[in-house]
Amino acid sequence: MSRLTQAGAVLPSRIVLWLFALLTVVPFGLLILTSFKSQADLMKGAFVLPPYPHFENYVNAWVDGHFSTYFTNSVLVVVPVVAISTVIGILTGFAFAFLSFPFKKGAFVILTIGMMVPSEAFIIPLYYEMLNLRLINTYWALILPQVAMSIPFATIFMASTMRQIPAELLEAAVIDGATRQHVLWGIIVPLLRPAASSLALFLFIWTWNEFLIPLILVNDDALRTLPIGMLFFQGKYTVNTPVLTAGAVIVILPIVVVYLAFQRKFIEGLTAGAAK
Amino acid sequence: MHHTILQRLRLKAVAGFAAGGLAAALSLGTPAIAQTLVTWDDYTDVGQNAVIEQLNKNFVAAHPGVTLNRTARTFDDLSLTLKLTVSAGDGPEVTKVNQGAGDQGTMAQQGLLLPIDDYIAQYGWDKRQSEGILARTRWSDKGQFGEGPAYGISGLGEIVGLYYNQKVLADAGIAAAPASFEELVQDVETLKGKGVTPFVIGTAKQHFALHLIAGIEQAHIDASNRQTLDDLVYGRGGSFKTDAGLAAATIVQKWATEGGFIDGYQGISGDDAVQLFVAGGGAFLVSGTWQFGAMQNNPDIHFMPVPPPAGVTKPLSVGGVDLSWSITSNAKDKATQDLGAQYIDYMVSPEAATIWAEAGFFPSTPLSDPSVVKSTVLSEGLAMWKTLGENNALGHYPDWASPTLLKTYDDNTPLLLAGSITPQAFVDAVDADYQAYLATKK
Amino acid sequence: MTTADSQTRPRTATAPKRARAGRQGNRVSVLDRPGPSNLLYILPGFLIYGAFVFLPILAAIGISLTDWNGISSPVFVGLDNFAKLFADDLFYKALGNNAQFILYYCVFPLLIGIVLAAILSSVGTRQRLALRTLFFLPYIMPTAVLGIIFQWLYNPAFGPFNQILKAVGLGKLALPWLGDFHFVLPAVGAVATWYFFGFCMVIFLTGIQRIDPSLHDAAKVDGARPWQSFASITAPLLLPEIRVVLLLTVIASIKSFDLIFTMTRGGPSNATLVPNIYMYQLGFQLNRFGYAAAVALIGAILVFAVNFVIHQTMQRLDKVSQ
Repeated sequence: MSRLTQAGAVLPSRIVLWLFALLTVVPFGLLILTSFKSQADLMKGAFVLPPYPHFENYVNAWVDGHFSTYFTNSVLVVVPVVAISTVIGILTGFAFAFLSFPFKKGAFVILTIGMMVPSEAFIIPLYYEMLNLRLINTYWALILPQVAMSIPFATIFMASTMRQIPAELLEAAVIDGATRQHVLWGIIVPLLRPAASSLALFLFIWTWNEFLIPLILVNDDALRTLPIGMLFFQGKYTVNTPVLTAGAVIVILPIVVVYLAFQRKFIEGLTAGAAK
Repeated sequence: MHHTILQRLRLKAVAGFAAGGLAAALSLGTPAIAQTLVTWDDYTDVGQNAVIEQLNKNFVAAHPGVTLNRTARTFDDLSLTLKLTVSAGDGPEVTKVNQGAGDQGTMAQQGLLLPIDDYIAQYGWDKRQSEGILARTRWSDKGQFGEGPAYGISGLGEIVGLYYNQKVLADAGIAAAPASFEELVQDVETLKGKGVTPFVIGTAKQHFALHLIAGIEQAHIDASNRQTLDDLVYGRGGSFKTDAGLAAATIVQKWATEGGFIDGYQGISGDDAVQLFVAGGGAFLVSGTWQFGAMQNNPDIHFMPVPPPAGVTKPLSVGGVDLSWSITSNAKDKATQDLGAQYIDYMVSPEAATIWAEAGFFPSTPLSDPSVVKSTVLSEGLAMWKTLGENNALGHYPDWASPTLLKTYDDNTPLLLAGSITPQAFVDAVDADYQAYLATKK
Repeated sequence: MTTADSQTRPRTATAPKRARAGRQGNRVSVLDRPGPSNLLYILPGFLIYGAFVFLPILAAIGISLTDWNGISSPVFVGLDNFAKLFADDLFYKALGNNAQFILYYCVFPLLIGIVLAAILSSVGTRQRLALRTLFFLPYIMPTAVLGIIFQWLYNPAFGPFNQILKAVGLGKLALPWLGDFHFVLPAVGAVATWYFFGFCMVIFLTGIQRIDPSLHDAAKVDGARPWQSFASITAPLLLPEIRVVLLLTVIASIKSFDLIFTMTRGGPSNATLVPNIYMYQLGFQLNRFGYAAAVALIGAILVFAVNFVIHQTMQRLDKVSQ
């Protein structure tokens, strides 16, 4: 191929690439831009820069919008969910990867069912169950169901990663007299670190973004998480778009920060696990 | 093996948060003592929220030892969660409840709300609000709406009427607001000719189309003929297939399809429409008195009843009162119930009415001092309220007639406005829903 | 799921054992022990899962056999709800809408993803990593918040989208997107495509990177143009990734709720109604919990069925391409 045709072949694809890059970025850009405008600035046009940045939008969102409360709640829920689910995922994954037990296939099917049934389907019975356990309107109402919902994916992900470990390693350890606990926590888990951190990141994002569970299982504004807070915020501030967008930025920012910090691990873990 | 910093931090955080979460969990879910009152209300709008916070503060100051545990929920969300929580023995002791078969009727019949006739007598609430208004929270043991014990009382009144922008009209050559419905129709054509938006409306969210259609429909009904409407809404029977209903659907469809509405109305919400109207975006807007807080920001905006056609001297106006304050079955002992009643009494007191009026909102209890009203639209609204009371011309929200009617309206109004169904089909759909509901009551 | 591990890892002496272990493992390994001690490992997981997910699902199945308004006692009606469901126009509309949404949740993101991955794989590493990070960004957002954001973007009065259209002279196209019966579904679907295409691309990128580049070199020597090489070599080898992407996106589309709910609530007039939103309305707005549970169940069965069909089709294609 001559250099000209090579360049010709490359240019359209570059354009496509940058077009999609633009499409991806523009909504975020507009969001951030609008969050610094005043309502009067809005009327002037979407892309017009405001004369000066209105940081008070963020203050309004944080204070009037109770975003400080919602943010804290999101953290208070996500951290236990991710921690507990990861540990249980490791334990249960270990069992599925290496152990035999009765009804193993059935147990696997039961887990898969949980992954496929949407939470809307069982939220009402769950509500009554929480009520009877006197857990409604508590952090446990948010943590326990989400741990339960994370278990299938965590188990399958950990199990398939564990199976990648060379059997000789495990055999050698057992021959050396290591207990199963030691094999699990001393050998397997360290090898699992990349996959486990990917799992944790996944669970972090899914739990941070969860919508229905906090909506139904918790009534108290003091316990709401960020996405729900955002919904109510919209109800109050439909017309004050700059403050609304500031609120949206507050909700999105932590995820973006975590993502950018760990994106390599995250994506690699995702693709490795997804292929299984 | 070494932990990454993240893992170490996470472990520490987990321990800390788990302890915190446990403590939080243990401290929540306390049983209600007479000193704490759990309330839910729907005052999520910024202006309304400020008022209720003030009222709550006043109440707590006047009742030392009492704490109020308040949650604000939007109208849709309240409807969603209230029945579920109260029937499960959880949630508020005093709450706002939407009147009508869907929420208040169902809850009353399930014993989830407390009859308050004793308190009405004790506090003299019937002196502050007419029986015609109190009847809207009455449900008999047999499930008959409009009679039997009362289950709630409201603090704010509501009327649906016609907002008009005097300046926009004047600029288009219309000197005065329309005095009759025929004039309104004429004005719409005039405005269209001048390139001015006649109606500012948004149907993506809220229920502006319903209120417009119902407002026009009931303006065609004279107060002396109101029995039919009352029977409909109170579930005593009748049909929605009326001349007034058909006329309203027809004219609204005409306006929607022939440029009488603002461009792009299908994609904007009712709240957006209000903002556009306040900014001078059009001549007319039909909605309720709950918009006063926003409307008072533009002194050119006035409020009037939807003008009646010729031959109707005392037209009905859609309206009533806002969601009613009720005491739920969660208030188990007399002490809590009494405290709830005291709270409600304060909410419907003249003092509270004054605070609402000062903020530009529409109290249902008469004001002791009308001079506190600073906003034009509020004084116009209060004058209308007085007239409607004298003429017994306060209409109804038609969706109160059946628990599923609101959804039926929401599903069919976009089709009507887009011209996809005929006005007759629209009226038929509404009536079909109502007849189905009547059939289940037998 | 897939046996891609046999392509990624070099074969060792113990490979046969592990290759078979790639399937649902009931392989006994050296760590296995007789007796009940194995059960201890699955106990905590299954206890929590059983209590807070599986039990409620079973309860939901039970509720689907009743007529229940959420307050008074449920009334057993057998399969009446399901019979009603099969005659329910609105349910079929919801299914039809879902079928259309699959185009935007699965097909478009897949196609865009595969093309972008192919382009990106020929780009320098730093650029590739930067763009990969960028394109994946939408996927990590909470869909509920995305719905609120795009609702604002699409707003005909205040939103930037229509303002841009008007500014470049395409004012005719400045429709009330979320209120227009014909365009609301594509408009919402476009957001779903925007959300998923980066996710698909990333999966395909990894897939492409494990393809032996010598295959492409050989093709180039034979005179193949880049897109020919892509179509005949790359695409077939990406079958495992295609399968995973299809699976995940189809399931996501059937489970979809937040995004559509926050943007349109299923409207206008049910133009974007999907089974999950219908279930929500039935339960929480119309108080027909038994019927709602029946809708939920059918939805779940659909997910299974689709999952199964894709699995089978992919397996057959797998065999064919080998």
